Amino acid sequence: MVFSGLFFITVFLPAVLILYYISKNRTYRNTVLTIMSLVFYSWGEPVFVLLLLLTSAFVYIIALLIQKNSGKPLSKVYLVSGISIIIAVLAFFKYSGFIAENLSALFKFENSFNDIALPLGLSFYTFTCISYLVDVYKEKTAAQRNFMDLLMYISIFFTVTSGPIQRYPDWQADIRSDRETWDKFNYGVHRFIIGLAKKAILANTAGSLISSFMGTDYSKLSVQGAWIGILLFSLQIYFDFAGYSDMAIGLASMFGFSIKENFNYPYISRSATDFWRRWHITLGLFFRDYVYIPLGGNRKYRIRNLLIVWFLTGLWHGASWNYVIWGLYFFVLLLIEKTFLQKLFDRIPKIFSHLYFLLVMLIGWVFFYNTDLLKALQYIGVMFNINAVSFSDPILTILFNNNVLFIIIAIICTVPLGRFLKEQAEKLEHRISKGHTDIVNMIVLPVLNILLFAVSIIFLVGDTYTPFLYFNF
Amino acid sequence: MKRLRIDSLIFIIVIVIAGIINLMNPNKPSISIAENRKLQEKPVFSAFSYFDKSYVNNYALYYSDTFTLRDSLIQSRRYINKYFGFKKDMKIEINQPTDSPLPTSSPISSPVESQTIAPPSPTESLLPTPSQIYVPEPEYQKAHTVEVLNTPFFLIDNYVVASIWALDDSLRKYAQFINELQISMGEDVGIYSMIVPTSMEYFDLADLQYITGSQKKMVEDIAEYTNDSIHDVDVYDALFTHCNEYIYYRTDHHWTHLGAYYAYCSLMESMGKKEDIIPLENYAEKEVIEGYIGSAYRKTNQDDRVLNNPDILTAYYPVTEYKYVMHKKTGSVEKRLNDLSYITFDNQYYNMFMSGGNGIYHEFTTDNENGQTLLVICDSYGASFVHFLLPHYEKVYIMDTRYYDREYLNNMTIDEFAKSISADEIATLLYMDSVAYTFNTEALYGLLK
Repeated sequence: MVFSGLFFITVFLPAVLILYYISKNRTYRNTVLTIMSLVFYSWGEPVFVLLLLLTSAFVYIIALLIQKNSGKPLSKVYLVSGISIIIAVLAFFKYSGFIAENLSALFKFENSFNDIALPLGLSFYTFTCISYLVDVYKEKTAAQRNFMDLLMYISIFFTVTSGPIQRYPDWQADIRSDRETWDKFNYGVHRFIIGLAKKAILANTAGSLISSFMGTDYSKLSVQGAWIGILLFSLQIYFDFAGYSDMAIGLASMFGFSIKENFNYPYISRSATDFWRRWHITLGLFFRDYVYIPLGGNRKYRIRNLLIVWFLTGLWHGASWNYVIWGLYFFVLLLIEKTFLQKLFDRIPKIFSHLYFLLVMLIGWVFFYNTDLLKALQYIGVMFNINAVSFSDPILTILFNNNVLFIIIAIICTVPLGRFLKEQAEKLEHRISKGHTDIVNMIVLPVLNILLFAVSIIFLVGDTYTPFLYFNF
Repeated sequence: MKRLRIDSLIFIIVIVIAGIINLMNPNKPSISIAENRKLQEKPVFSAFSYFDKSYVNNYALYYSDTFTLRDSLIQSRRYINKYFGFKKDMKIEINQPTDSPLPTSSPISSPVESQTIAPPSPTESLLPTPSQIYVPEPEYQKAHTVEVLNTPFFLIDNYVVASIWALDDSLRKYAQFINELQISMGEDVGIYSMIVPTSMEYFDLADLQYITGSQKKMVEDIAEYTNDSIHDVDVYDALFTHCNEYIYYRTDHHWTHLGAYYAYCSLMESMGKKEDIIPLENYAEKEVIEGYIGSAYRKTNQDDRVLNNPDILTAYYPVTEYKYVMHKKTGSVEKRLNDLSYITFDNQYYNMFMSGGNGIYHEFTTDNENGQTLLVICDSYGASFVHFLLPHYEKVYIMDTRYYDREYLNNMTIDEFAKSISADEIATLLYMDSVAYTFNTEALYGLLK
């Protein structure tokens, strides 16, 4: 079930809301959330819901054992073996096909290994579990004694499939508290609608246009087509994932949870370093806290540590070399930036660092989009007029003209213009009415929300099934 | 804030009411008039359909397909889409060189060779020498204007066409399929490979050639990858010779019955049975149905330019008496070719050729007591091809690979099936889309394993 599906929005969500809010009993409400999360998950994974349950039970026991042996060497043994086993499960489902393929190429034997389907959300909830075990080991939190409460944390429907990756210490306080408020609910609906609009209107439209540019034989692609194509892909992947994250945050808020942000206008970054503080924030923080710092962080073997982190970041996105190259590409950029480029950018006008970032970001997405490396290089060649058939072509020009307003609107939505306008309007209203009215928040914003919701539904209805891109990872 | 804000309230009311209306609605539509297609039916729940995810996937599709006011919402979306850009000059005029034919796409064969696959007329049965008949050199159809529909569709003059880029891996996979089929069947069984280009291939696009891949090259590549013992039937040239005739629909991705006839002629020639070809004139009994709007209408999101250009469907009746049994999971049923019950507004008229074509396999028995059995492994192009084969075989089996059902066929692979019916000859008949992409050819190859 996807958040942007009509069945989710008009059947599952109202059902959960009604069941949840008919009683004030905390245990009842948490049980409803847990059971409905399992229903949600088994809707897409009728078999692998068992894996989710088994993993949760395993993590529950290991965490208690770690806590029981706190301070003793045995706790570390439990931690290491616990993490190894859940990573082994992830590796089995996600990477065994990839490993077999590479071994067969290396040792020249015939690869008869069939790829295994990746259970939905496994990449995400594995990380949720790892962070919980490490946090218990480091005594940042006590191990959860109530299995149902831990199961809720791991399987909760708004984050189980694609994050944002939650930390247990942040989550813990909300479990048993009176977390729900009308403010949070109103904010949740607003965020959900914003996310839905990003997905249904912006990401899906960009996605439907991409194949004209990037779905063709690159030897026939024009320079102009190559740039528009990768621009559209960068818009699609951002709105798809940021839209999903907004919806997850909005849903969480409707049930009183405050969960971590995942995006902070990544395309206004001025460097690759800046980008990774704004893009998929919870993943970056996970690698920082659970890989980079334990390896020694900035203190020792810094370059080696960075290399490992970026290799893993790439590999996490998919069992294919292009993702690894994409990760290592950022490793190289970060090194260059830390060595001298950042200092240079500090001295020259900001526009140059923005242009630099946009260029390296678009090139990065070429590696991300093309699973075939040679095709990625060919594409980049076309972008820079190396072996490009022509600079422009009439068919793509028509397609571009037919959608130019859409592209402009989408680009505007990547910058915090909406936030800026809202703040300015609030200030203006405050100055005029001396704080006696709140038209911006009570009338303008609600009207805009309802309009956006209506347009999103219009866009969703005619669309065939369009799952979120990050479900693949 | 102490209460629900107005937008939250409206949001909740809308999702609850929409949910109730859509779950309770007893009059769910089964067809979409706006899209000219059948909607997803409500799936039947079973443990199997639940665990293989088909139940939930189909249910979600059924739910959104039958969503209240769906047609009006789709109309609204089309309206909004219009404001996404500046729709100005939609038509591109093609700069056709005035005197020389297309230099890069010369026909594969010489005019004399292509003459041999021209449909024989009664006078030709006297077998004149090539010099006695004048056959003009085939030329690609000159395109004048190209309009952009949604990707990958274009409107070339008044034909809806789709650009196509074959993956080399996929062409190799197809060749691997047919090569291994030959090995399994042994040398006594003749294997004929028929690849049908799509209509786009026969347009001379001059300076706009880059909008699609060369299907001629794809056909040549396949011929190179297949073993020498495979007969690569030259369907490409057979259709090329007649590409200025009505051999493809304008609004549908299929060939017309006339196109299928020309391909039949080339198959007969490849089999060394040129003399046995039944002249088209003998097919006197036929249906001519006007106002056909084919699959392209739905694929182009109901583009008006498609609707303004309906096709005429001509269907010839077989000249041989036959018994036709369609084998389905639910049982075997006797059918007739050219089933007029499919000529309704919510149907693709093309389905009339072989009653929708969705049987696991189709078995034809004729009065020809020659003991010859042919198996055609095909896609939907096969549905309008079988009519012409019947005069030459005692048994013809049509197997559309998309409906292959291993469980029904006692776990037989496709070569085992061919042996079980004692096929003397096997022909594959696939249009270019079915061999260009690995998800199709992998599935095809999977039928051998």
